Amino acid sequence: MYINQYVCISPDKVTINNESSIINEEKSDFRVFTKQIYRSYALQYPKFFKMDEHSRLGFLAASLLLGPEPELENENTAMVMMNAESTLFTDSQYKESISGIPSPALFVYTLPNIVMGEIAIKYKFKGENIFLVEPAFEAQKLYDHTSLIFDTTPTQSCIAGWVNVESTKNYLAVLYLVERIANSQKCITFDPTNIEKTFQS
Amino acid sequence: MRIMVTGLGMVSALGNDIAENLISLKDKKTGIGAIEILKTVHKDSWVAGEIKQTNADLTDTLEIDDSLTYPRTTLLGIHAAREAFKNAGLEVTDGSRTGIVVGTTVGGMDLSETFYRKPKENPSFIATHSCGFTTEKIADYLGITGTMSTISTACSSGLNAIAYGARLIRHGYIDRAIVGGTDALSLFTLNGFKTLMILDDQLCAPFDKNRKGLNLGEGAGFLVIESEKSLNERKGEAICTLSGWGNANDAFHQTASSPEGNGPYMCMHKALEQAALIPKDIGYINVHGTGTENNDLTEGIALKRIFGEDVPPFSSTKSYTGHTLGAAGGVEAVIAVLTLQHQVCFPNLNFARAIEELGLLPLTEVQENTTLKHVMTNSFGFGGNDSSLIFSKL
Amino acid sequence: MAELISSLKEQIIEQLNLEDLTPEDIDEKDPLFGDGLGLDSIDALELIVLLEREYGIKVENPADGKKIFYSIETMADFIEKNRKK
Repeated sequence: MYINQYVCISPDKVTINNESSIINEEKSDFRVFTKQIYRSYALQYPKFFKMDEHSRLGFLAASLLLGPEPELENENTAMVMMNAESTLFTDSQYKESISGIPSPALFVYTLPNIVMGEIAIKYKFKGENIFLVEPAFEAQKLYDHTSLIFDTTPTQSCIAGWVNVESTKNYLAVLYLVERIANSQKCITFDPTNIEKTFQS
Repeated sequence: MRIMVTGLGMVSALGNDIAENLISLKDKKTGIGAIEILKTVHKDSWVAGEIKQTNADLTDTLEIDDSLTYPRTTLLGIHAAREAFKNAGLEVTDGSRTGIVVGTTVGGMDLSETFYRKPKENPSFIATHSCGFTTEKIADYLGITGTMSTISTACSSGLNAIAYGARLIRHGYIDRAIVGGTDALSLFTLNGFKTLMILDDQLCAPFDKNRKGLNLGEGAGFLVIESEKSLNERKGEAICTLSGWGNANDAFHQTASSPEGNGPYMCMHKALEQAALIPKDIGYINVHGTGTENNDLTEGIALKRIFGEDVPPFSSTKSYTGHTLGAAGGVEAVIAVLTLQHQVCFPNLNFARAIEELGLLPLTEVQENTTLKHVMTNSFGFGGNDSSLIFSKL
Repeated sequence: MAELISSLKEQIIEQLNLEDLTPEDIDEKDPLFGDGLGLDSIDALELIVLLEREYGIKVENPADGKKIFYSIETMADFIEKNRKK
């Protein structure tokens, strides 16, 4: 398998295939910086603003990774995502809302796989999807989880990576477009060493 | 490589172990009723499949001696996993070749929601909050040191954990695994489902024309699965095989399935394909059947797309246990295996009239002395995460 | 009524995170759901929360939402007749 593209969003910057795309010069908080990214890429998806931090982060990273019209087989595009926090940040916000009138929208976002639901709805990806909660990021684990899907199903492409929000100042999304076929000039082999090299934390 | 199912463990509102659960299932005795243990202002407004044991009761039964106070999800998980392990006759001689995959959504929330405003009363809630804490503690309790994974994909978590464990075994990472799901009731989820307005304040009626919504439940259901080779080496006995699994994303809406039931259709289709079976091979389906307007209609549509006019006998046992969320896949997989093992199908309680668009009639009586060869179980989660498993007679 | 309609537009924009919209963009007679503002069933539940929090009106049956939330105008009518705040 090959990594044909990868994106990293952190509080400092956005990089695509390790090249700097947007720098957070103002050191803005999560919502301001992610809105800046959204507008820079003219994403035109109003639902973005209804999402919680976890889904906004993963959705943005996927949108930058794939562009507006990726040429992928929808039924054979899988998603494998992991994090350590699950949706703890959103859980706290929802919990606060219970003391008033609980927010139904916020409750829905207290499940970590909802970010994959948002990506699936936008791009109509109908393949396998799994979200794992791990103590910390490990390149070997991402490799193992993803290659298992390729080895045991007809999956052709997989959006694989890490989407983790600890706070509005501490968050990280690294998403890889992993495919059976190498189809970009910058592609690299999908293996733990390359994942380790490209994962920025 | 065949994946053998060798042990079962379960705790639910129906009973504290497999034997007690079986009795309630056969006696058509629902576990759904008044909320007594969970301290909620809503306890007189809603019913749930609550396990009538406090956390202290569960801790004592398990003889847990740890400086940390274990959350309810963890206690239920250890309880059921322990039974499955014993049931499999398994003694871990090489922990590194035994793995664990747990599906859960609630994690330590029952403690966190109580203590986050008064942390001095129980500071350990921070350490016990994560979904992964349950996985680690079950592993510790049973001496497992192989691959550990925690899956959180809403209501399909438990089934996905089972399928994932099977993949790890087939791929040679491990020889056997304890797999399933666990979730406890919490104010967090009770309030959440209330605000989504999909709860029924009376006993739920899955697949019924006048269904009003779901009842929440809690529980844990675990299986021990092994490679055939490793089972033969230890001269163990299998109950059945896990012959197929499938997962797909419905890609329509976060909390409702597409009108055509695409996600449910695709995952059932994949499970059949993987098991190398045709639809009429399936003798019984334990459906997701939450009792919500959307799920039962769209699941029914998907069933008809797969099975045509010959939809096999089916029932939703959520009418017995309530919807146990992340545990549902584990709990219902255990019930599906019991169905195959004992050749008895359990009914869909509270059913009166068919959904007009479907005309589908679930089982309403216990059926014994069946001759089932293959049974299917479905779990569909928010975020469009849809899964299906098939178990087959040896 | 005009004042209520104006407040409602602002409240809805905030409650539903309609970031790129201003009150001027929403016509009170236009359908809110379907092709209108593209709202969905979860937005309808959020509007139920809005009714309770701002106007003290409890909608018990989500199916009633279809009529009440057809447009800003129908919402305002409903609020005028049923408000407790």
